[in-house]
Amino acid sequence: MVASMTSVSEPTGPSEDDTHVACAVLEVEGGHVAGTVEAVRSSVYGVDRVAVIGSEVLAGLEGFDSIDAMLATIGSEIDAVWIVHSDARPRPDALGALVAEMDRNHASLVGSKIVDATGVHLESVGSATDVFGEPYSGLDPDEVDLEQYDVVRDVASVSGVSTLVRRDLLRGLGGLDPALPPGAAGQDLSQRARLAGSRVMIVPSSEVRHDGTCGHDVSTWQERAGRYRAMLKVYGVVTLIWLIPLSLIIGLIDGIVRIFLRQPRRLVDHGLAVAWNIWRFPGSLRARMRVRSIRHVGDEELFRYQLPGSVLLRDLGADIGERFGWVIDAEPGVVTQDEIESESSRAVPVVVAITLALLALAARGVLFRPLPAERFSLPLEHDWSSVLASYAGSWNPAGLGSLEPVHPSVAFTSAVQGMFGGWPAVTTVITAASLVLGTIGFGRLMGRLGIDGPSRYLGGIAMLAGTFATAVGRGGDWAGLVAIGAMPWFVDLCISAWPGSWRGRIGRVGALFLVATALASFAPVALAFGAVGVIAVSVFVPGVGTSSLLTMILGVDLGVFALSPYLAGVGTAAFTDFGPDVDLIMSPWVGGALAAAAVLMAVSGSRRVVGVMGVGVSMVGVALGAALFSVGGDVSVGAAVLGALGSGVIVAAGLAVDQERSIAASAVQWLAVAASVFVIGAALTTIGNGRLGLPEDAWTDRLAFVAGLSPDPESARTLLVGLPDSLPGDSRIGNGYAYRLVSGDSVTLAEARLAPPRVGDRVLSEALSLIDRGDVLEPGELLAPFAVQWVMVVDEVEFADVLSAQVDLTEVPLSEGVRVFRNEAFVPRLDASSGVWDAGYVGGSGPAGPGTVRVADNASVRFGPGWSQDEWANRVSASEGTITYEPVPIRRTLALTVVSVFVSALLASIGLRDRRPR
Amino acid sequence: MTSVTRVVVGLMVLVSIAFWTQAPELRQPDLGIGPDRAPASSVACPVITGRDATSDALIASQVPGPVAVTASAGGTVIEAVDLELDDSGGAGFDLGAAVGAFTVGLVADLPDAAGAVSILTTSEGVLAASNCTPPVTGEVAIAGMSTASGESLDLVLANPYTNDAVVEVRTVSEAGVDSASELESVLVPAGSVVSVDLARLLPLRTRLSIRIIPERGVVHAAAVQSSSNERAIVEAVEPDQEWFLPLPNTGTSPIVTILPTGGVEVGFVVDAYGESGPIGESLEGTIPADQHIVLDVAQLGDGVSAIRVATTGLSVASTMIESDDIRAGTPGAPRAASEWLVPGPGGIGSVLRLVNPSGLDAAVVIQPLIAGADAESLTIPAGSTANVAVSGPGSGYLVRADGDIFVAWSVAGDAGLALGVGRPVLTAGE
Repeated sequence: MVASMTSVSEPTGPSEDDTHVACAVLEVEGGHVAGTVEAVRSSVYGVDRVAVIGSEVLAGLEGFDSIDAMLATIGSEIDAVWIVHSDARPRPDALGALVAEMDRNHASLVGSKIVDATGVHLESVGSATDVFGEPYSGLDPDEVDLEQYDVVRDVASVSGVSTLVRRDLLRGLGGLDPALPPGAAGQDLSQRARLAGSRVMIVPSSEVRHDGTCGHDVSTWQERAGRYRAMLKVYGVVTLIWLIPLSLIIGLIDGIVRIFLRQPRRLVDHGLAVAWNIWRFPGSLRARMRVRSIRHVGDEELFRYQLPGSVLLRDLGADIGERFGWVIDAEPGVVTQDEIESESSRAVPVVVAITLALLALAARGVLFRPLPAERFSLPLEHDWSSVLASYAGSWNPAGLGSLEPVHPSVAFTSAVQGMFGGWPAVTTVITAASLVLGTIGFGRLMGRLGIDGPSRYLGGIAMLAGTFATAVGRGGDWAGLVAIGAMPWFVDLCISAWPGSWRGRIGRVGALFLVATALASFAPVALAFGAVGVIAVSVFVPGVGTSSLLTMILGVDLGVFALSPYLAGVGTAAFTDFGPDVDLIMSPWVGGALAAAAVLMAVSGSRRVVGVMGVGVSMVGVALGAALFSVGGDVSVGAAVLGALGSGVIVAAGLAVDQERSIAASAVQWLAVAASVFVIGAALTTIGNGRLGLPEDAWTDRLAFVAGLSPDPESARTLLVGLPDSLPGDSRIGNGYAYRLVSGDSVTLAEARLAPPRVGDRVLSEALSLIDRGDVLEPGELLAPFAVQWVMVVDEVEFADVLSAQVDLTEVPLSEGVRVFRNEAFVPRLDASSGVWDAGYVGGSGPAGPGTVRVADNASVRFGPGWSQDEWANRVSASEGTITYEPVPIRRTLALTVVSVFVSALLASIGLRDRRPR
Repeated sequence: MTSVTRVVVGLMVLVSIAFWTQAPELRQPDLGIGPDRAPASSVACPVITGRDATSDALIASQVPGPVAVTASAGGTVIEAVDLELDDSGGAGFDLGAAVGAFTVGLVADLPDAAGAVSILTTSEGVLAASNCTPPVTGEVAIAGMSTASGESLDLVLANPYTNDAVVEVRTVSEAGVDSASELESVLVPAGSVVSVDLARLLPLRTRLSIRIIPERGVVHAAAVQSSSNERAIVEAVEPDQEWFLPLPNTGTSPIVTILPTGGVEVGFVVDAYGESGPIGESLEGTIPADQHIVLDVAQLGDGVSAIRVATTGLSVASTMIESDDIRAGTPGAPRAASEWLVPGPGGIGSVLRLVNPSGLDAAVVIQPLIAGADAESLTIPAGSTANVAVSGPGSGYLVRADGDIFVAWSVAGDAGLALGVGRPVLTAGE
């Protein structure tokens, strides 16, 4: 706290009453107006007039709806207005002290020292705030009043419980803001007074007892919202430009971290406060305009009484420190069972924090930077809206193009990207959400299965970074890694008790829809494997009955509905023949440790732990069984996602020796613990990789030259040739090599998956067959119709040899480690007679003219205007200067319906809850 | 219940382990194997012209259609000629008139792989022929050249393609492996011709064989051996295990050189053929690694006009004729076949040199590659050779037989002798 001027607060005696005071008793919830009025009237310093602000009417007293209304009736005979809460009891000398210090220090707004109802503990001696308006009293909880703060000084704000304000200032300021709760209103008034050039001071010799029923000191979302509004009203535009985003970020950090401190409400409070301010923004703007008229000083005057940094973050740090302090100070063996349970509960945030920290290390390469460009982990397309349109029935330009929608994970990611203003690194947010929510969801699930100890969260490491997760990572499937985080939520929601009220049930269905959508989007077949997981739970875990199966069916149906725009556009091959292959070959040591944990705990554990172990083993067994059938694509991803959950369950159950406190933990159980710890340790070896097993970035730099050398990169395609595992995304198989086409200067996630070959793909395949037989002197001419400007050979495949003896593909040293050939016969993707056309994600635009444009995509009648087929490609009219594509109506309708339902489900899951299980 | 659950869990663990140990790797895309290279429909070669020389590009094809011929030097295309082959399958044009005295790399895109191009260069005192060859990404070699006193020898490397090539040149002489550091890595830029003066780098080698091993890209190579009176051009060919070589009787004993290319000792067998049939016993021997062997043709007997060389490893074999007035040479043909395209011979002094190495008589039809020309038929007894003078017009001949034969050719004139072999036309499965 900064005191620009101090003086010792002296008790005041009877006054000459030069300053005439009117008292406004502010009716607050839980207050007792009559008691306060009586206390006011017993004031040593004479009060000229007493009025009640509120709805309560007392005989012989004036009543007003607001202070403004009261002010309207007060003339110049009154010098100051004393605002007192109806749950406050001022000491008889309180007003006198306020008046004396106000006059002596030429202050315009002074506040009392507030103590609790017992008169022992301090509640407020004025506050500083940080720049974000967060108050900081400097008092410890239950700090005893030893007059240690009894110094009259300037402060940022005083408590609104007892405030004396000069009448003219109060009128000039427009009184208290009626939209604000008491605490924020006092702070707002103080700030505006300061801005008007007035002094705001605390007068500790003015003591007021406060029973606190008004909730003045309780931090609610309304108070937070009020502080935001106060901030919006007083700060200059330049300050607000950096202050608002910073404030939002700090609020977000505070909210997220406090979830792990078991204070999830804080995040909601931040959200509500922001929403409230958005809703009330016009009013705030008007209030801000009024403040301009009384502004005499700049923001610097406000800054003088503010703390550096963020009070919110400081409190957060203190809370976390307290939690960790518990771990250090705890002395096992001297605590009671109740204390153990209590401490166990308190240790959860610590274990979760450790788990997340380790996961963050293991995933740092994808948490703090965009995805490495390799296999099915690729950067996002900048034109996210076109990607969404591709999902909703429009043209998918991957390869030579198709009507098959982009993968739902791409659509989901693009939608999130859109919500983040097109931020291409939004995958970091999704990855972080998957890890955080995955850890929490896993803990919830294990808790629901009866594994209560904080160590259960460590199983989350095995799930999110263990052998199955890294198998997904090795396959380059970022989406599969995200799906792992959603799987425990799906199982948990399916097996949890069905809410008793319709309100809760609707909320539950909404939540189930959200989770099923996320799971199905990032790993469609995982939905089916999730169902298997629910069945396993219902078989092995006592108390989980058939209702969970019904919920599971509902969840699967909801997920299938969410996928309907995708399912309407793809065949079954999309789930097996395309996409990443997850190779579930695991280290024998890890497999052995998992098996050992399962067997050891199965023979020595309690019934419940054995049941849970059965769930885990079933899940892992089903996953490995799927591998036995040598099925790839999304099926293998789905199996791996279930296997990941299963391995986590085995580890968590293996660590559940603390479940057995009623019986002596045997050596066998400790061996199971050791095996589980071994699995966790093995999972943590992924820290070295830092990308959860995802391969290293291979493609970001390789294609960068296209941007510099192709006038319109989107018009140029690059033919990539190599081994399948070396190429980004799907590839097609040639004679001794794999190949695929990519557009532009980078290969994006939207391009990763290819559709089954269409007519153009077959023609390309034939052209490549001719070339790879070494019988073509001008291969560039053969590739030109496909808009291939570059050929890149990435492995030691024979295809490169045949390009040695030809005359229109010139090798250029553009990328290290690969061979790049420039096609001298290149023809752009949009080849127009009317001039140069720029290609877009779909179609493009250029100078309108009487001619036609050849679109080097697979033939589709939906291109326009004036479409005709040009061999395997398209020819459209150049008359409109743009190329259009007519989407498939049913898929667009389905996509819009799913989005609508998703938003509804989101609102329902947030707003409609019933925590009471039937 | 608990015990039952335990049993179930235990069983599932065992089953899972079993699955895990048996689980095969997931589907691996079947990349197949790279296809056998199709016989290329393009051929290329260096063309060494010279002032006052006439270089004719002579084209033969079984398939009519367009032919694109491009000549490049110094990194640029200096001449591009488009021809249309008619049903006769033959065409020719004066390349020297188009490219002047340049040494160029020529590439001809033929309608089909069943085509061949020869270059016949004539001037006062020079009569030389060479074949253009399909592109080869591996090693090619030339056997039996000389840098003896009075002989100049240039290795001409042509890269008519769009990508630079780098080759290593290894040479073998009577001293064994015999090379120069300048030859370890020779850059042949795209669209360029590089000439290496081997007589300066490796002088006074009685027999010098040359291996050209590409590090990158493809080159077409030829060795040009000149005396003060004549010039021989011998193109580099891909190593094989069987060679048919013509041994024309010019009064000078031909020099046959066999160069193994595999880096190991190889055995060889030589069968000789004359006009009256096989001559003598087969000649057998071994060639140490990294050496070549020069055969004493006289050992084979009198009247030998062709030989077949078979080796146990990859090799290249060639014939050279060196006399006061003649420098002529050719690599062998790697196989016998029932159809041959023979661009080049025509006009006075042209002779087709036919060999029937089989045990059965062969009925042969010689069809001039010119519209309306009459075919000539003859029968070659088993194991015999036949020389057929072919003095008619046209760019060459198509030779068909009812058995596998070998066809070479020569053109003799005042300026000397040019020697070449035909191009066997492969049928499906060969």
